[in-house]
Amino acid sequence: MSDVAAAALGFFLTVAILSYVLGDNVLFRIAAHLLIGVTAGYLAAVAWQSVLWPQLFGRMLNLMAWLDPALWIPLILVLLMIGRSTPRLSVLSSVPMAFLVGLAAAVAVGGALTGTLIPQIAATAVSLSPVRQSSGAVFFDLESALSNLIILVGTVTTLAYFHFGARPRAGEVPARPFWVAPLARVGEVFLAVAFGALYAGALAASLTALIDRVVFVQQIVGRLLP
Amino acid sequence: MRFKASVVVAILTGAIMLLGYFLPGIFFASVRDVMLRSGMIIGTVALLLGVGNLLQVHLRKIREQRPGHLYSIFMVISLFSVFAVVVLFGPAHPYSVWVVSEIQRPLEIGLMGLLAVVLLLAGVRLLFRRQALGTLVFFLTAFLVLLGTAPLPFISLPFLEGLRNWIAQVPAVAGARGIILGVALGATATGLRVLLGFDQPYER
Repeated sequence: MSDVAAAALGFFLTVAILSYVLGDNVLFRIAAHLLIGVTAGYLAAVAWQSVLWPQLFGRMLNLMAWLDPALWIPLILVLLMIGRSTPRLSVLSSVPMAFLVGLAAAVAVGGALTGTLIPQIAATAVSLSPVRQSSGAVFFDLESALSNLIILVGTVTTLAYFHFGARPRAGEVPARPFWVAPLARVGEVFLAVAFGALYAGALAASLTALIDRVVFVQQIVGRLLP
Repeated sequence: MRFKASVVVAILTGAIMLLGYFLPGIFFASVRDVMLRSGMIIGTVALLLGVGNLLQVHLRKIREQRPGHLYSIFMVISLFSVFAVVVLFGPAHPYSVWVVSEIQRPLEIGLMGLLAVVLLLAGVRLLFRRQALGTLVFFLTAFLVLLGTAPLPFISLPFLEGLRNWIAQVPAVAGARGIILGVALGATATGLRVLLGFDQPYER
């Protein structure tokens, strides 16, 4: 019985979502609101169950835990943050927000430096020589050298494309410096290739999902029809 | 200059976190641990406040019977019922798993399937509206990658798979790496502006 109910529910939700192909309609709006409600409810419950209760409110019941700053520091900040809902105390909520923003900024700077900038630059700055040595033997690898050169040129020119340092001059349209413009033009081609590959990947993945749903609807209809 | 407690808190928090990268040791490790755990708890409370705000908006819509309030009823009922089920039984209980697999999963896969139609329409629109070198390269790349990915009926073209791999591993990597480096540079600059107190997004 529960299998039939689950299949019927899945059928209704799938048809409701896919009905958007015909335009915005009641069924799609119901499905969208259901998705928002289910996701928000699930997130809130998991946040309570996995973080707030075990790490804060549950620990408050243990008197010895109050000696740990990992309990009372977040508790004070949480109380200040809840004050945001009261107009008189809302000024205080900027302190926990500042803590959160400072923390996130430091993590972002540290993460960007150690996790992205240094490894990505190291991966780009590789040898362009076609002559290679491996376990004493010297061999010629033109393909790798060319690939490395293309990656280096593509990375530099793509970065040049994001150069927005044009100085505005009276009566003239802001333009890139003369040496950046041709680099940016080449970078645009590499960007188009990257976005084209991403587009194809996203299209292939979403087509797979669409086929899965169409097959599911077809199976349910097939079961219902004699 | 007016003293602002929030600016001091932001700068101190960021400085202690960054110092931890350069001064490894038990003291900084434990301070960073306390700060990260506190940040996680505050972030979770912020998430709950957001959910509360969403609920408040929809409850007001229902109470005042504004246009579309019937949809809000679906939203509120689903939010409360899923919250109750997951809090009462736990996220790993079969009831909670049923909610995810029988309600959330079909909705999300359906939306993902809908994305195929939206992407195709957007692609066709781009092709007709903006005819430039970038658009041509974009579609040529997408076409070749798709041809190399999908199995073709009645025909076998092994060189297409090789070409697809080369595109994905060389020029697409170069473009993506440029974007990633640009994003990282932007994140570093924005983060440093916040840590030095030039930007104060936490001020109301």
